[in-house]
Amino acid sequence: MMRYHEALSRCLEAIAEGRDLDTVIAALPARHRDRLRRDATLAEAVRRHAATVPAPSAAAEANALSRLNAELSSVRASRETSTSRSGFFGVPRFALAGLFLAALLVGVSFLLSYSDEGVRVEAAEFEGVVVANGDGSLTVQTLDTLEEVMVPLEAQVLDENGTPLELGAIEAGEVVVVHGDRERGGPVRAFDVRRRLDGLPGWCDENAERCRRIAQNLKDAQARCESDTQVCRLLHDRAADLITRVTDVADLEDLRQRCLNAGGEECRDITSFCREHPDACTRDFPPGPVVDRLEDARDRLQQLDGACGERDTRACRNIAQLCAEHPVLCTDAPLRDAPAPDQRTR
Amino acid sequence: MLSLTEVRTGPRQQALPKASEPIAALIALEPQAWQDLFEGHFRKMYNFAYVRTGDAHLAEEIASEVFAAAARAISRYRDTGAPIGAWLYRIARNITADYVDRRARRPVVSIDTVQLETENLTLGVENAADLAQCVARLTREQQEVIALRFYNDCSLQEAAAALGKSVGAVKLLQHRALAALRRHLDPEATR
Repeated sequence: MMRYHEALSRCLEAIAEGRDLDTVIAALPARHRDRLRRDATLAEAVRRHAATVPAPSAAAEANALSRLNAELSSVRASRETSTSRSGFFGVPRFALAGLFLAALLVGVSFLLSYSDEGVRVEAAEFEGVVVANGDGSLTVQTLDTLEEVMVPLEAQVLDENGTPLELGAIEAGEVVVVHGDRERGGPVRAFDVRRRLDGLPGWCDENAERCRRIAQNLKDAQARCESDTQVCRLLHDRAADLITRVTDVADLEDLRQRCLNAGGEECRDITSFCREHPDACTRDFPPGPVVDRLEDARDRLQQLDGACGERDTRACRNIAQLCAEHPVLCTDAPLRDAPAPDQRTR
Repeated sequence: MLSLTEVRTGPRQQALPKASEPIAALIALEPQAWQDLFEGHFRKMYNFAYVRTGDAHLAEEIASEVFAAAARAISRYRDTGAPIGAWLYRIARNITADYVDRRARRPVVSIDTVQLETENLTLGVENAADLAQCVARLTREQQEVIALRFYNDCSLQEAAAALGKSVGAVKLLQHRALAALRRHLDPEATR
């Protein structure tokens, strides 16, 4: 049975070769045709939009070419130099130059990293998952550690698209990128905090390994916490739910990758997983290859819903069955747009 | 009924050059080879960056940076048989991601003059601004596949090489991108 994404690809490829949309769609499975027509039309709208993208200016193109040529000249010169280099007591000159440069950098960074008062201040830039937000500071689990981030009033707090935010709008479980500095051993003082628009699931989707590591770090931090420090109380009070969420999202991403790579049984695991962890499956983007099956089921659900509304009791029973098979379709998330089960079993 | 044969004005863009032939010349820093590479790909890198950033000036800057970075990195290029364009796209992906992270911009495409033919679109595509804003809401990979497949007319194979994915994964990503775009364009229609 041809899956929808395969049919869509064939449809788009055939259209790209100049074939007529109706002819192309007629040759593909009937159950996909309505969606194929919608998606092919949308793809064409995107292509038309592409034709309106302003061309780069001639000046920009000339500058880019000039920059490329300058870069090529520099690389050529570098190659020529490297081939003519001789050693010094057996040590190549480039190595000595590297050592000198490294020493210089260490010296400069040492000087730069001290403020006027002589207190060591380091630049800090990291991303992580917010564990807590309160009293003008964020607690953020990064890949390496749990960071305390002071957010002064003058700091910029923005959404990823540049929209200003109140600090209080950032919630535990959201992903932020922090730029700031830190005095040695002290908390980070943020200049700029950016919140990811697509949240934890979107971030984990793009950074599966880092997502997994953060989940593990949270678990480790919680396991190590035996004292009554503020951090431990925080982890005890607030981290458990977050650990579950991050772990679930990371597990789902693992399943999705395995499904993409292996298909078959691995993909069926996603459905089982979503049945057991519906909260992890409530994002805009259904998990990978199950999307076809889910969208097919959603179409079927919508048909049944109409029939059920017309007092077709068998349709109503079938809705309940479909919801049991695909609970992810019967929650409030975008994919599950059909009415909730209790509304359907009229 | 919309006939797409009418709106596609020509054959698919010429396939990206194969790696094996020009690579030696590129590694040797031959001016003509780099000139050809630049002419063949500058607009594509620009389009790619434009879809991701929505800023023409920034896209010009990124496209320029892609070629400068390529010149610096060509000695480390490993010929895997993939088109050289795929390598450039990978550089462009990294540079664009850096710019997007740094400047926290999303596509805000200036499309005042755009006229989409909407009579057959029942997807809420009332103007191009809708479309651009919805593209801006896609994930990074979804934007990338849209840029490659629909703005740069890459084949599935070319897109797969550029994204470092299998062709099957690109088909799926493309489907997910269009589905997400459709949902963003007309949330009501998907309910």
